[in-house]
Amino acid sequence: MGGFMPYVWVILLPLIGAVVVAITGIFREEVTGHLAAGFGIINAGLALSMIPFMKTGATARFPWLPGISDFTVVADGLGSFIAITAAVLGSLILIYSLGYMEHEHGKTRYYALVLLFIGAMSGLVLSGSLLTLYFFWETVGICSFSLIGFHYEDPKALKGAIKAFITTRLGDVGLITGILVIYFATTPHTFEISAIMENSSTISPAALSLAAFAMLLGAMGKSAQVPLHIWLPGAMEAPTSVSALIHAATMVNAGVYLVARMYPLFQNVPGWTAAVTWVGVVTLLLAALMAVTAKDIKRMLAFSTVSQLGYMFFAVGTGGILASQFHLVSHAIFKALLFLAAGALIHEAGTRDMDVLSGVSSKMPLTSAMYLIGVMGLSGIPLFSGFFSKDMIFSSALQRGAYVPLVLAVLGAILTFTYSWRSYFKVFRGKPSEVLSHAHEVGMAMRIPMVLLGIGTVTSWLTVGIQSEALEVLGEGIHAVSPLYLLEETFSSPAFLLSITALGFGTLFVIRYDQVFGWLESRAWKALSLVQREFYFEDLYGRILSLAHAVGKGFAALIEGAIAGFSVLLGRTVAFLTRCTDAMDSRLIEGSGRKVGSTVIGSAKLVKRAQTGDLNGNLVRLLIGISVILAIVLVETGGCL
Amino acid sequence: MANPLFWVGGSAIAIVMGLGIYALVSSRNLLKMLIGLNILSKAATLALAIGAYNTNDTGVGQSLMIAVMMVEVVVTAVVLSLIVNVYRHYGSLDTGDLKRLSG
Amino acid sequence: MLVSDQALLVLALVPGFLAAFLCMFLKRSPGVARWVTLVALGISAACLGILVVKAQSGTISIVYPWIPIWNITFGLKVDAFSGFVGATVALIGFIDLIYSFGYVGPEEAKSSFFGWMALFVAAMIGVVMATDLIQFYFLWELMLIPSTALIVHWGTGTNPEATGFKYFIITHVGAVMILISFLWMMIIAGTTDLGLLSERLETVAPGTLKAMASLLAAGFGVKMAIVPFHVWLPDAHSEAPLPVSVMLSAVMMDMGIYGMLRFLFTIFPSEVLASLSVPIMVFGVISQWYGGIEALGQTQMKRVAAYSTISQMGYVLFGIGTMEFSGISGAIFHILNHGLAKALLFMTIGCVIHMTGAHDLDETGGLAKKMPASALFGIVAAFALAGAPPLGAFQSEWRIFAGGFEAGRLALTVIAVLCSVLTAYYVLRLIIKVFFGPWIHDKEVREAPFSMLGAMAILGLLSLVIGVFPGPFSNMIESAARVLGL
Repeated sequence: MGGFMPYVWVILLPLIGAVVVAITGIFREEVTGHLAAGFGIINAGLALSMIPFMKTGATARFPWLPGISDFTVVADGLGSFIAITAAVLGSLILIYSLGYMEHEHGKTRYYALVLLFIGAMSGLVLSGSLLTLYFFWETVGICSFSLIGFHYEDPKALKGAIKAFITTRLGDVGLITGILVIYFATTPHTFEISAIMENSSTISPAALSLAAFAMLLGAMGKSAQVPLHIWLPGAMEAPTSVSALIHAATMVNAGVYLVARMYPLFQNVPGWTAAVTWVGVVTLLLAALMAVTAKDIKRMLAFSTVSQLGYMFFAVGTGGILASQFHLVSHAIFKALLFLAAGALIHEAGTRDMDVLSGVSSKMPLTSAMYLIGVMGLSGIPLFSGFFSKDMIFSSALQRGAYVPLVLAVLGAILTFTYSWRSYFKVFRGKPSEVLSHAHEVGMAMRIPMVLLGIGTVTSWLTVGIQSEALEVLGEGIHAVSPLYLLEETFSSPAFLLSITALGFGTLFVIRYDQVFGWLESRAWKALSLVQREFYFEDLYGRILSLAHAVGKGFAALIEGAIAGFSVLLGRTVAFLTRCTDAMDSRLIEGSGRKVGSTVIGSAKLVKRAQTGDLNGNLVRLLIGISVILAIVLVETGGCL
Repeated sequence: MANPLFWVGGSAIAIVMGLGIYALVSSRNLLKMLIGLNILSKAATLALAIGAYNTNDTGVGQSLMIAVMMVEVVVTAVVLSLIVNVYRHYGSLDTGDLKRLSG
Repeated sequence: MLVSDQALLVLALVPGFLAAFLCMFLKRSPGVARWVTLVALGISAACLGILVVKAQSGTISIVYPWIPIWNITFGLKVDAFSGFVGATVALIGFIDLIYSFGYVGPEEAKSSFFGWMALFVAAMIGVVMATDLIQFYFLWELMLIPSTALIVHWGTGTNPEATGFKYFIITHVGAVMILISFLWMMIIAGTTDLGLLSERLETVAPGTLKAMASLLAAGFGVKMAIVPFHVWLPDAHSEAPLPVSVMLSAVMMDMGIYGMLRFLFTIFPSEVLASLSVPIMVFGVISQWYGGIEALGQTQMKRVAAYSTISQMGYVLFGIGTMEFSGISGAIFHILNHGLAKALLFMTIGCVIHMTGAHDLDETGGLAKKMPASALFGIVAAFALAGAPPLGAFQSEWRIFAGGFEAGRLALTVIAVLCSVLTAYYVLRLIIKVFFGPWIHDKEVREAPFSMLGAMAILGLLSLVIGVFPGPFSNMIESAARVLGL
């Protein structure tokens, strides 16, 4: 396939599409959606054509910053799968948007940003150079910010947008630090990931540790791991289609991608893998707890995403790269499905509050069915993709002997089962509530993507063959497996028991939910309220922010006051000095001046007296004068007698 | 020729100069002061003549005497015009009345 | 070539002075004065653009003797570094003038305004092209006059005379420090030619050299508004008329950067510079954080931008202090990127002030509805200042940080990097408060006129181009850094 490089086009095409859509939108906004969807579909096709390249890992190189970093595109298994996910899911969501965004303003902005996002995401995961990776990393962040703040008249949306940007920025401090440290620590200095891996022996252990933990921070920011998770619930102010794409299926996976990509380099850094594991475990548990008590359906889904991302981190930490990537893909599909279904529901009902919603299935049967499929995927019902991927995570943890985290992970699975099924029963079953009086099933544009994703949830585990083959190049004990092998393995491994346990307890919890909840409220309400207040993270963030503002204002006032005071002091000093010199002036200078003046005048008066008008007298004096001079001359010249 | 002529000539010059100075200094009349000035220049001329005779340089002496006499004439003319002016302005030739240049 | 190199040098400098001169005679027709100035600056910008490209391959200069008694010459020189800075100055000046076509209303537009602007830009270009210490100082002081005049005469705020006076005095003190340093050097080395000074000073004791260098750095630091010399900036930049604020914040600060880099690195040996590295970096970080924290607490839009300038100069000073190639090339690059971003930010604020009359953050909100283009440019400026790709400032900021790591000062550099979070926060907060959120204006608001938007569009586009295709610019700044002997 000579000059055709789909992996490059998969980055460029959406970017070009974004520009085209932006320009077109100035003139005819109505066509932007269809135009964008068109670009999206072509892009998806391009992405799928990348599959043959994945095994061998094709590379393309373009000059960018000569001497520092080239624009390198590397299409290996790790990155390509995420790129394909982004492209395919992106195109489905663009189609969905045709229906969802029909009555919204600012379509041009929306579609241009979504396309920009898809291109940047592909650029991120296909980057061969850490610098270009960072470039796309931040660009993706800008798109996320702009799309969260899409409804810019809503202060909540704006707050969410800033929170997202600042929190991820904080993580990015770690990322750029890590990147630069590696750059300088490697001999020769390079940003190329492949070159860094080759020359990893030249990096000093101290630098490596620093870079490892710094980059982990960056990953935590982007993937909303505790404690940098607070931005994701706030990001739910974005249109739900955006939430599906960015905050479920793609951008948040960037952090997982990063740790997976850098795993070969950092795995031997003492404490790093443990850190990754524990970050994942803490996140998955806390987030699952918060999802259980969430009242807003999107918020629940947001916490669910955080939790599932925690699973992926957990997997990477225990060495299960294939498991993490497998779960990444399957989660992307069913989470996107859940979001899209929720979006349809919100679109029709106008509310996100789960206490108010009920009985949706009678009004929107297809949406309900799709949501159900998504729930089955999320909760890990056997034969759905979520089951296989979660199971794989458990077994890799077992292999590593990470028993304590594993127990917590299983606990998390129980909770996951609980909240997902509860949400289904509460919202979709039962009698239709008030808000649904005008609801009806959504249009084609929104149905097709949901159905496709539903099919994907059921079948995506079949791609494990391709995935594992592609990831083989990474080493790490990954060997190609076929779907059949997967089936055998899964049902026969000890991890299966764990999965079943989770399912069992989960079911129990769901059925007896109200009883358990009531018991908790009476006996352990302190713990309950802790969870309900989301562990006070939001409050902490709010406090930090207002503290920052107060410091800013206070500091400003202090300094301004100091400067003003200084100016006053300066003015007073100058005035004082002026008075001094004034006094000096009048006393010394003028006084002495006057003295001199009067002396001169006095002596002049004296001399004046000699000046009489008396002619004779003057003559006498003249003659005396002449005689004196003559005498002197005579004496001097020795006489002339 | 040296000694007796020197003493006679010297005393003659001294007497004439003394008369002139006395006239200048003690007269209150401007015209009289002018005459005194004239006598003074005669004394100078006399000194020149005797001096020329003594040094046998009569040619130079003559020219110098003529020069002095010319200067004297001019000075006298100017002073006379000044005196006429003063008389017109102040109406008096008495030095006691002419004290305007007092400091 | 149509025009000789020498002629280009002259053409780069003279039109500005000529325009200023002509404006004296155009008192009755400010419209003509505008165009004269615009054309003049356009010619300057074009010449410098050509020159900087040519200078990549070698220095171009002409030198004339000026005051022969003390060996002082007058020359014009363009090398990769001065050409880059000069081109930036001329370009932003030119774009600013386009902007002022729309901003400066008919009552304010006197031909003297444009004359002063022309003189200002011309003086700055002259500073950059100077070959001789005394010539440099002469033009440096010359810069002060038009800027003070512009602030005093057309300044907003309660007491423009006082502000202008404060600006003049404090900057002048800085200039005097520079002069003392120059004279000191002159006395010891016996020459004012930049080329010869470094040789002659080699034999001087390091302690003396360090003192000289510190004095020089401090003097330029006043111009760069480094804490604690920054006191003149907030009032001057926020009370100046907007096109002048643009010039002050986006361009004049670069003069300080230029001077510091040019003199410190060309004259002093590297051991002296190395000993100054950490103090300079520390001052840089202090300025960064100080500017950022202050910007957070401001209520007036222009003051936020003014404190932001202090913060950004802190970044640059940090880069200079690293004494490493990447740090310094980052600092040089930031001259261009900050110039574009800060000009764009001020221009956006200017659009808001011009169309709504509001100066305070509390008086604005939700403007994006009626002023979408301005809102877009505001966002672009915000992201550019925050150092986010794909805009240009990312390229300069990562280099500055890289320099810090290369110099081995990990903790200090991490503190500097952390400041970018603060930067992002205050600048986004500004734009969001102004353009987004609920609409709170009571009167009709229209989008800004085309001249203003056009100028902003050029700046935004340039920043984007630099961010996405940094190659040629990267080459330019690297050769500029190499000229300094790194």
